[in-house]
Amino acid sequence: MQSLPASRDAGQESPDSSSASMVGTNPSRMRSVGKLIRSSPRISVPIVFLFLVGLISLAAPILVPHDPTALLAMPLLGPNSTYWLGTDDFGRDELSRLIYAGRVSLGVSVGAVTIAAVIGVILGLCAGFYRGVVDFIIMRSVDMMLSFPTIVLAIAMVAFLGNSIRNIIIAIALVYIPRFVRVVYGSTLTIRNAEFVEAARVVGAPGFYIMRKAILPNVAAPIFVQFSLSLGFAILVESGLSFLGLGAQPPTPSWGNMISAARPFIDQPQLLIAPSAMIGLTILALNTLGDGLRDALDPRLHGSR
Amino acid sequence: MSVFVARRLATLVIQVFLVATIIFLMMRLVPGDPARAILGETASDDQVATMQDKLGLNEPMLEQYTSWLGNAAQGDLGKSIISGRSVSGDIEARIWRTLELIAISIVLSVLVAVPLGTIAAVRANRFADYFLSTLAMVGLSLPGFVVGTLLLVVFALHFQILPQTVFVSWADDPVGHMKLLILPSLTLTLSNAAVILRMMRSSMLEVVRQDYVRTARAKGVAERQVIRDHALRNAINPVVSIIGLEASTLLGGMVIVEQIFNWPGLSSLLISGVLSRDYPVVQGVVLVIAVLTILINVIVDITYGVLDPRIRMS
Repeated sequence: MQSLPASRDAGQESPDSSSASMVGTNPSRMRSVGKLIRSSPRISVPIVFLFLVGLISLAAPILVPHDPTALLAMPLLGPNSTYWLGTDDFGRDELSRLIYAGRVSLGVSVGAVTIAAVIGVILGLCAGFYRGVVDFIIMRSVDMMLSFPTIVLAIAMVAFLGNSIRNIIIAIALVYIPRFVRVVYGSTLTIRNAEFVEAARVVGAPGFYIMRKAILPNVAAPIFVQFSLSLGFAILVESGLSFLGLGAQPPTPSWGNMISAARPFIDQPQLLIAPSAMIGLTILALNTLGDGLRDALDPRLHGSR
Repeated sequence: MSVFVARRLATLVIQVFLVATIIFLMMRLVPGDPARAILGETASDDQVATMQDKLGLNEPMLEQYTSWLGNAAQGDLGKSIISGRSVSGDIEARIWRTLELIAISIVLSVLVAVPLGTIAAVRANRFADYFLSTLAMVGLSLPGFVVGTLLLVVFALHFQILPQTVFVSWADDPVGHMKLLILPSLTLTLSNAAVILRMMRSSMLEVVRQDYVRTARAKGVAERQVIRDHALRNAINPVVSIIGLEASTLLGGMVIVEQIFNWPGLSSLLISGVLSRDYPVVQGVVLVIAVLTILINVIVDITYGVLDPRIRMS
């Protein structure tokens, strides 16, 4: 698992690229990533699914059959040949909205978790590497942040920052920084006294260089796992905020506000089931991937198989 | 034991103090002037000045900070700028309904997840294990508002078995109150139970590999008794600690679940405060939720100390 810094490359466009970015130019590295993906269906199946969802979201403007915000037909039509999932309470095409909502939900989550990962990894590396005052300040702040329930902290941030897509990304990123700090900090502590780190220090390499070249590649595996799991939770938080009316504002579709809007119309259950299924399956894929990666990358488990 | 409890309570005080500090600083996150943010762009300078006065923004920063901490310590969380009512009073009226939901969900999820997690571990890599682990994974992945909405639509709207229209208190109508509790507590329990089940399974798998379990088996102790008397006692410890960690997820989930089922707890206060930019209300409710999270963790830690003497010694 000698890979590029996960934080910087992972998942800038879509969740699936977190794995794709592990593929460097080095052919042997590419082969080992291929092997990792094929090693278990718990890794390959979610990756294929997430790749498809990501691709469909990216290609939404070309793919969607109708304009997602246009009032096209009678409200609450059932599924038919023109509107495959029927129309919503405003007569908008449900399928087009579902696809566009994926762009919002995934875009916000990937953006937020990427920011959280970059900042969290840097802070975690610094705390674990420099120890002392830096460690104390960073880790105590992290503990404080973790006293708040995630979604409550996000709600409070949105309340004070104001409600916009940009602020939601900032709120979710702030909420997830501590998790990355914790993970990187723990791993950094275990290898900061390793001989090769010591050697780099002895030859006078600057601290930042040691962190980047010696420590980061060795703490990459838990970062990938955390990235996958955090992405799942971030989608949960984003859709939760939208559900409460604090996230993406209508008419912009998001999986959360689509579920919220569909509640009164039980005669058209697809309006409720489609976005619910998309949220559920996407988070399920990310959690399964996170679990699979953890098992595959955890060195302690290698002997036992 | 009392030293352990005292030490834990001391860290509690520090944690609460730090959390209150963060919440104080949140108001400073507001871009520009909070008073103007509340009133909107059209407000006159006079109105803004009055609002600044109401929020105490004219005092020096340090004074604002000490008076916020001092008042909060005495249970005074300020006044709502919309209704003018005391924030603590509004919270007091609702907090028990929230705690009721949280307590029921914790108890239910432990009752469900500990036996099922044990079964999954005992039957590791067999059908029962695959089935329960998959179920747990699905439970973990379905957000509370999806589960809650589906339950509401199916049971309350479609079949009308458990209508969730008007809230009735325990004192007025115990049976009606219990009926209202079923769907929200089920929703909260599902994901919580999933986490505990997974923890229970892996913890039990770890324990049954230990020497003393092999010894017990070698002595000829019945398998059921080995699990119940020898393994469970040790496997349960990490599970207790995960309940503390889950408290924050549970209280977060509570915010959404209360909204779905119209449960008149803290959540409605928080959300209406957020929507109307009623900052004192938001600060007050967020503080109370954070303190609850910390308190549940303290209770869990003390329970953990009671169950495992090694913890309270260290």
